Amino acid sequence: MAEIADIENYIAKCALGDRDAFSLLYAATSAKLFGVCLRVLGDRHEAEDALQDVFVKIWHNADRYQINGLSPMTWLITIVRNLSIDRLRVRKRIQGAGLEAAEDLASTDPSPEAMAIAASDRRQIAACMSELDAGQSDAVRRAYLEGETYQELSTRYDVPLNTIRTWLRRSLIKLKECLSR
Amino acid sequence: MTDDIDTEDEMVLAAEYALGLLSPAEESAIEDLLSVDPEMRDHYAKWTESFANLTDDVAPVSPPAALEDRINEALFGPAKKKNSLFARFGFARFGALNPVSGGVVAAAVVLFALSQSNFLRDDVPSFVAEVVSDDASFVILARIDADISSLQMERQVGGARAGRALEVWLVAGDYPPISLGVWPKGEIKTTFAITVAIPWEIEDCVLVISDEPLGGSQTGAPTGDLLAVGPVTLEL
Repeated sequence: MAEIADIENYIAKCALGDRDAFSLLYAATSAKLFGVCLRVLGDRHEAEDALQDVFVKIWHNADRYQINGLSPMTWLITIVRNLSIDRLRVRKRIQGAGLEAAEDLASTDPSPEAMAIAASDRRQIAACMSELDAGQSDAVRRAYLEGETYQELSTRYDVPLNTIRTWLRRSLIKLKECLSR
Repeated sequence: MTDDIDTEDEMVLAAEYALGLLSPAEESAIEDLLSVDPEMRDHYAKWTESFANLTDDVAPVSPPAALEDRINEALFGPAKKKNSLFARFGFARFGALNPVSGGVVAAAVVLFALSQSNFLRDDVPSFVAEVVSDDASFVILARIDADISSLQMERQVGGARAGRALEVWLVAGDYPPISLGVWPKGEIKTTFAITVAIPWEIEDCVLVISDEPLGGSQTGAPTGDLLAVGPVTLEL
């Protein structure tokens, strides 16, 4: 199992055009990333296409990744999640904004304080999600792993759009309070 | 929209942005903010990390083996021919079979021999191959007619081992080798009729000569040493 430092190293070398490092990165991360594609898309064929897009993007954008104390897996998973959700939304014929830009920012430097908090977030996210009401954590999960929009959540929970937004924002504040403890 | 957004709002907006819940107009406003506001970037980075950890319980699944090739091809084009064709078509294709080991391919010499030869020439474009061993101890010139109906071959260097035969194979991609026939004993030149349909571009094919028992392989696949390998190319 490759260590975090190995993965950072592979990404850094990819930025320099090192194809061997790209192979090593693929070997170390493709199974986890493919698992996430499958989880989001629920379709093997589409997940394969998504994973191809992901690694093409990783190769092209490796120079934008900065080693910053956050897990490099966060950067990779964010690319996987966003590309998969984009596909899912195309499939659902939803005219939503692309998430293209989002992962580019995943590598922006957080302060040292942010890094410390992020490290503790990792341990706490599961615990904090369980502190939310079942419906609240379910909605956050659906938004992240299934790309559900406010409109879809509003339909799902049968509440008006403004209400669902207020409700989810309250969940996020509660989640943040827990994560920051 | 910068100064009038309080910290809690920023924190929540960063989460909504990370989840992709915002409208295009809101997203673009957040992106403006991210480019100038370090605190906003911190919020965003923290949420990204937290949300990514929601995939902690997603089990890894190995993608199909062919996918990595597909990705490499999408990025870098079709696989380049490696310095040793044996490495690519010998070991990779036939597994346990051992090609004759040797040094550097004497490609220049072979090309010269080809261009000097009156053999295998007319005015119709056709396909040619130089089938050589790794150490050039074995050199065969080959030509396939434009309609891919026959293969003419001429031994320049090397021949069958005592009590053994040479068998000629056509190989493409991951497909199993197709036998074109056994080289008639003692002949320098020979012609094989290509009677099988070739379901791929002839230029993607490779000719392989293997060492086989008299009469040829009994299994339908090469069984002995691979003596020489050569890619098929369009004759210039």
